Formats: sequence, C-alpha cells, structure tokens
Amino acid sequence: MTQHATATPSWADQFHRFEHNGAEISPAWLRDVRKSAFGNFERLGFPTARKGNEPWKYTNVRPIAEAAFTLAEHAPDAGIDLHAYELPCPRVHQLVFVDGHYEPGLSTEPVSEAGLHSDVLGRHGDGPVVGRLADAIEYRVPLVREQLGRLAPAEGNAFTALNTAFLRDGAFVQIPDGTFVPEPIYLLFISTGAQAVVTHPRVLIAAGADSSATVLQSFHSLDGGAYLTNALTEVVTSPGANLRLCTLQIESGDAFHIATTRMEQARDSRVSSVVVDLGGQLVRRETATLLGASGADVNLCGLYYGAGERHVDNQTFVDHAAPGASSNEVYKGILDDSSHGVFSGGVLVRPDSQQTVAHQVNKNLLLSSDAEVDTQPKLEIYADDVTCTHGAAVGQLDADALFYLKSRGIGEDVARNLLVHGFVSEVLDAIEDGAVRQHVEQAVAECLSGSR
Amino acid sequence: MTNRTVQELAEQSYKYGWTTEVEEESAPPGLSEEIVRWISERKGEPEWLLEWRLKAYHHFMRLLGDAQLPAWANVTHPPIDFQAIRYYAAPKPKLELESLDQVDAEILKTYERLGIPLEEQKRLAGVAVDAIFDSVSVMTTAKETLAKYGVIFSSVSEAVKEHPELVRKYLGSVVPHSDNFYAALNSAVFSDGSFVYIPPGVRCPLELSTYFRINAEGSGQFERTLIIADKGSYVSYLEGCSAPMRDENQLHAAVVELVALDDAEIKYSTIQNWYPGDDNGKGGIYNFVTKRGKCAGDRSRISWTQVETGSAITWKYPSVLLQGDHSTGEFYSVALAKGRQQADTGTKMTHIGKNTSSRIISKGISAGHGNNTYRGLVKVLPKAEGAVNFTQCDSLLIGDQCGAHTVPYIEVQNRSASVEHEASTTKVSEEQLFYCQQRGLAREDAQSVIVNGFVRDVVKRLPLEFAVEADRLLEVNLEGTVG
Repeated sequence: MTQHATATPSWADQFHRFEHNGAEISPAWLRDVRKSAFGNFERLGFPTARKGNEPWKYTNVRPIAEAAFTLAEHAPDAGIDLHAYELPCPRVHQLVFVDGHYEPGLSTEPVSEAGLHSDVLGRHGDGPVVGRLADAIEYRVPLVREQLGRLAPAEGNAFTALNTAFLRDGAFVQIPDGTFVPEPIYLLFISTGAQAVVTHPRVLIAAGADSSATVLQSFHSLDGGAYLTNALTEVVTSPGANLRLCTLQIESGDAFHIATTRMEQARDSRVSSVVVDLGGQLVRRETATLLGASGADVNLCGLYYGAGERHVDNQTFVDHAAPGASSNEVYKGILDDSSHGVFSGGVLVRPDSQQTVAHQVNKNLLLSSDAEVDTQPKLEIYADDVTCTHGAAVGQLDADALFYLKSRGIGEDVARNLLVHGFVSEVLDAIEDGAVRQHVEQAVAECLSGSR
Repeated sequence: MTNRTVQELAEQSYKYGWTTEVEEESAPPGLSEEIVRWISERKGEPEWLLEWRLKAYHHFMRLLGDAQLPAWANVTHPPIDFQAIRYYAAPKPKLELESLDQVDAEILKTYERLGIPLEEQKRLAGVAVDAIFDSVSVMTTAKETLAKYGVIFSSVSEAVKEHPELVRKYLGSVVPHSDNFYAALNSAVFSDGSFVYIPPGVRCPLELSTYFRINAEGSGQFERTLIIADKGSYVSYLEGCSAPMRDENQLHAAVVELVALDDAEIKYSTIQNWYPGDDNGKGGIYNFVTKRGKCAGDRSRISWTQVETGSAITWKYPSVLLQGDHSTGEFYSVALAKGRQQADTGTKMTHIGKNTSSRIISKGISAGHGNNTYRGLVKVLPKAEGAVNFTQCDSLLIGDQCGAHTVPYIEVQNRSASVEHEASTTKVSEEQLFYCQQRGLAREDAQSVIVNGFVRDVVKRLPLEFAVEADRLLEVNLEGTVG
C-alpha cells in the first residue's frame, strides 16, 4: 500500500483525544494494541488506486482520505422506532448500537459480570453470550485478549488499523460448546446519519465446539448523511461448529461503508456467510477465511445492488491451508444507473492441501448502459489432488426469457422483476434461518422495487 | 524411468541445446545511446527510424531509472543486468545473400538439425521460411512465389529499405514504444524480424514461417515482427524458437504487431521451445514478449495460437484490439511449465467496435516444480455494443510440487455485453490412468494420451506439421513427470 499524498493530521489529533478521553480506563494491553495500530495506520496511510496496488485497482478511497471525520458522540436514545428493523420471529438476542454506542434500552441482552465470568463461559449447554465487547474487555474475559486482533492484524490494512486504533465497543458473541441457539442473534448498527462522523464497530464471534447459531449484522441509517462506518468482524470457530452469518447493509446513499470480516475455521467446522449490500455511496467489503483444518467448509454468498453512483467492491479470500477442506462462493451483482460493481475472489490452495474442493461463481446483471462491472476471480493452486473451478459472467436480462414471460401475458415490468428475483434468489436462499431470510428478502424486494 | 539421472533426462528433453560454431559479429555488452546508434548504422537505417529508436531508448532509460520494471507477473527471477547483455550479434560475414549457396554452411546445418525446410527443394513443402539467427535474418525463402501474388515477406531491415512507407506507417502503431518496459527496450535495440504485407484480396498461397534461434553467448534477442493484412486478405504465419543450453539466462524480448484491415484474417501460430534451463532452474531463456494484433477493419479476424513449452520464464500476452465492427479475436494457448519453469501467460481482448467477439481457450499444464499462471483481461468499452466473449481456462497439475494459477480480469462498461469465464483446475485422474493401463498402455503413455486429449482443443488449431511437432514436444517434455 502506498501513502496517500494528503497527510492525516485530523486522525492523529483525534486519536490523541480518544486516548485521553474515556479510553484510558481500558486495560494496558488494549491501550498498547490501539497505539501500535495507530502507528500502523500512520505508516500505511489510506490505500491508493496507484499502479501496482492490485487490491485497490478499481476502488478509490480518496473521498474518505480527503474528508475529515470526527468520532461519533453518544446521542442518548433519540426515540428510535425499531419497528422497521424487527425480525419476524418471537425471540431474538438483540444488541443495538446507535452511532457505534451501545443502546441498553433497545437491546434485549443485559449481560452482567457474572454472565461474562470466565468460569461460566463456555460451559456446556448454557445459552449464548451476546454482549458488549466493552463489557467483555472490562470483565477481563480471557478469550477477548487472546483473539482480538489476532485474525485481523493491523499491519497490512489501513482500515483494520484504524478500527483497532479506535476500538472501544462493539459486540461480543460466544456460543458455548455443544450449544444450539435456535433464535437468531441480531446485531443492529444504526447511524443517525449525522454528517462526517465515523464509527468503528467491532465484533468478535467465537463459536464453541459442535455449537450452532445464526448471527445477523444489520447496518442502517436514520437519515442521509456522508458518514463513515468502518466495521471489523473477527470469527473463530472450534471443531464441529456450525455458524451462519448474515450481513445486511442499507446505509444512506451518501455514506461510506468499509467492512472487513476475518474468519478462522477449525476441523469440521462450517460457516455460511451471506452479505447483502443495498446502500452506501462507496462500499468496500473484504471477507476472508482461513480453512485451517481438514473438514472445514465455508459457503460465501453475496448480493450487491448498485444504483445511482454507488460503488460496491467485494473482495473475498479463501485460504485452503489444510487437506480435505471445501469452499463454495456465489456472488451476484445487479448494477443500475451509473453504479460500479467490483468483485475479486481469491482462492489459495497451499501445498499439501490435497483433496480440496473449491468452487466460485460471480455473476453480474448490467441494467444500465452507464453501469460498470469489474470482476476478477483468482485461483492460486499449489496442490495437485484438487477440484477447483471458478466462473464469472456479465450480461443483461435474457431477452428470450423476457419474451417467454411476455408471451404468457405478463407485463414487461413484472416479467423483469420476476427475472431479477430469480437471479437474486440463489444468494438469498443460502440464508438458512427462516426469519432472517424473510427479513432480508423483504429489504431486497423493497430496494429493487423502489428503484424501478 | 525413475532410475535415470536428471542429467540424462535433461539432455533428452531438450534436444536443441547445441551451439553452432559460426563467426559472429557482435556489439559489446551494454546499453547506451551509442549502441542504439551503432545498431541503426550497422543496418543502414534512415534517420526517422534512428530517431524512433532513440525516443524508445530514452523512454526505457527513464523507466529503468525509476525502477519501473513490471512486477505484477507471478514470476521471480534475479534482477536483470541490462548492461551485461549484448544487444546485437550476427553471423559473419554479412554479404548480400542471393541464394542458399551463400549462406554459411554451418548455419544451414543448424537449420537442418532443427528440421526447418530452408533448402530449395523444401519449398515444395509449401512453407516460406524466414530464419532469424541470433539477431539478423539469414534468408527468406520462396520469395518469388510470394512476389507473384504481391505478398511481401522479408526481414524488417530489408523492408525498411524497400517499403519504408509501409514500415513507417505501421511500425509501433499497435505496440507503441511506451507500451511497456520490454516493448520500450525492444523498440530501442530491435535488430531484425519478419515483415509481411498481404495485398488486398490476396489469400497468401503459402504458410509463412519464421524460425528464431539464439546462438551467441551473452546476447539477447530483440526481434520485431510486423504483419499487415490488407482488405480481404488472409495469411497464416508460424513461428518457432530454440536456443542452446547455457548456464546463463538469456533475454528474449520480442515485439509482434499484427494489423488486419477490413475483412482480413491473420492466423498467428507459435511453437515456443526456447531452452528452459536445467532441472535446478539454472540457465534458460527469459521470454518477455509483447504480442498484439489490431483488428482495425470491419469483419477482420485475428487468431493467436501458441504452444509454450520452453523458456525459464515466459511472460507473454498475445492480445487483440477489436476496433472494427464485427471483428473477432481468438486466443488458443497451451503452456507447459515443468522443472523450475515459470509461465505467466494469457491474453487481453479489448472490445472497442460494435458486435465484436472474442474467444479464449487456455490450457495450462504444470509439472515438477513448475508454476503456470493464466492472466487475462477482457475489457468491454462503453461504445462496444453487443460484445461477446467466452473464456475457458483449464489447468492440469502433475505432481504435488507445482502450481497452477488463474487470474482473469473482466471489465465491462456496456450492458449489452455478454461475458463468460470458466476455469477449472484438476489433476490427471487415477480413474483415467487406470482405464488406459488396464488396456495395456504403460502409465507414462497413458498420461501422454490424457494430456494430448487435454490440449486437443488448442493443438487442432495449428497447421498440420506444427500440430505434430506440438504433440511430440509435449510428449518429450512430460517424460518422467508421472505424478
């Protein structure tokens, strides 16, 4: 990464203020982590689309680099009506953050010190721990210190460094060994839409051995504003864990959304991740998993919708570091108006990762002549006994299919909607939890119909 | 098989590794303005060409000064000392050659050993050959036949003298000197190459062919090929390459430019068998080549077919600019990387005109410690209505120490485009091997049968005599690599 021409004094000032204003009660180790992360950020600077910087070839974050963001202040519960964000199911484990600050009045999971205490944690058969990351840090949950920043090191990525430097709160989810959590865990991040504020939501998810759970992260905005969300999620699984992750992003049309997810999978663990990007002005989402032991399986799905001037960049990376692991990826994009969709999918099969199965597909629907798609599926393979495929396609709605529907008396608009719906359903069907799927499907339908 | 020594295998698998004792005239090692002037003077070039070279030279030195060497390819090699290379080597004495009798007998013997139909009687084989020995073109056969049709097939240096207007118009029009690092180097010091012009409406009666041979020690080869197919013409052009076995790495940085006007078709086939280095990665040719065709006219067609079995490092992306409406670009490639070979190859299809189509079939084979990368770009510009692309790149892995990589870029700026990309990576399956062995084939033969099947889509695009050579090359190269 190359240093951006513009210096970032405002970030330095803010970090200084942040360090000495409320953050000093943190344990010493965390203060060290933040300090070194900020050092990394200063060294790296924001990435540029300069020649040779392949991961940022198509995405220019200059608007972020040049804007001056301030840390979001805590706005007490402004009478936010959660009705619109409710999941259609009787019980959820819900945490709500407004501008990055925990909102106890809206959350369902008041976690006590006892609930987070280490000897209770991870006990077989207990319910999940869904709480504030700040609590977990304060109550010295050992897992937090062990895992925080381990999967997402601040050395190589400016946005990760920035998130860690300003790490204060977020969500901490722990599923004890052998626990099946029937109801969805819902992490709701709401931005009030104030201009030029930045939030750094941090999420740490640890799935115990043979556990099973669904976690939905949802990013919304109350009002249009050019704010920045720089989210970072770290996911660790124990052997046999089955974790279903879903992310729904409907930020304001002027907002910047940077999201990084780093996962590590243990033996026979299974992660299914579905990301749905419907909002934002500039979206950059990196999803990476390390398949570190045999039998690990990951299913990465994504749907991105571009309208107006939106720029959506999805980068995935699957690291097959052990034999007998499998991965599957399906990313689909719908690009309208003068939007710009980017997909880059990396699959690395390391030496001796025999018996690897890796499939990847990226399909894009171009609905407007001003829209652009850049897709780059990458395979890097160093083992011979593997089955790896990737495919990419860019096109418009099938004229024959449209004609078929119209010849059956279906109007052009309805026919188009049907075809688009069919196109996206492959991704949405990967959401296993019924309530979450229904919720996301509705959001997608609203978004697609609203634009037409 | 396993008991044979590495040395035996190496000798067996590269049978073009000898050198020829010819008196050579060469430039001293190093690159400077004087050398560029010296080369130009040696070749009796006009002033405009010298200026063109100097512009390229200054551009290259700027790039070198800024250390702007291309670093994106998936290959590793020690830094190249551009001052240690001799930029010009030619067999001596350089007389005006009129018939085969005047060509150095040693050189003729060389070509005979290479199996090139250079001699008069072999004209009947229907191949016109331009042979490039080190840096200069030794002779072009079958000139008369071609002259009857108005086809110009000569060395570039000759064309500069005889058809300066054509050379001046098209040289650098597809690959400008500023295109990339090695293209700049080539533009500054290119020594010779082939020039082809097919007049309007002519279907070239012979397969045109160039054979490239690096012989001199410490030299690089920088040839430049320019093919122009005028309206409604057709030409099929073949190129082959080989080099002696040496411990040093020699640089080959060629530029090939194709121009197809309205309704013209160019078929360009390559069998590249430069010395790949020994099994420990010592020696071998660095093959850093820029090849690009321009479908300048409507309904024109350019097709690249390549079989890449040699070179220590291959860095090569034969591309097509689809400028004319309804033009077509094709790329068929087989790349083999074994031993310590590294191949980073692919294509660029740039859709500019309306209703253009492109097709990419790439087959990569990795064996031993070889690393094979397909790197391709399909770009559809906003005005390219109705562009269609199909890409398929398959990789075959033999052994667990090799690597196969696929890095396609797809950039689409027009919604009417239809772009499809498919890729797969597998090994030779045990079931297939077992099936063949059960029918009495030795394991090695079975593998060879399967590999031939794997590359068939590409090899069948080659002219017959090349197809046979390609099959044999693959077979020889894969001996002893049963995974």
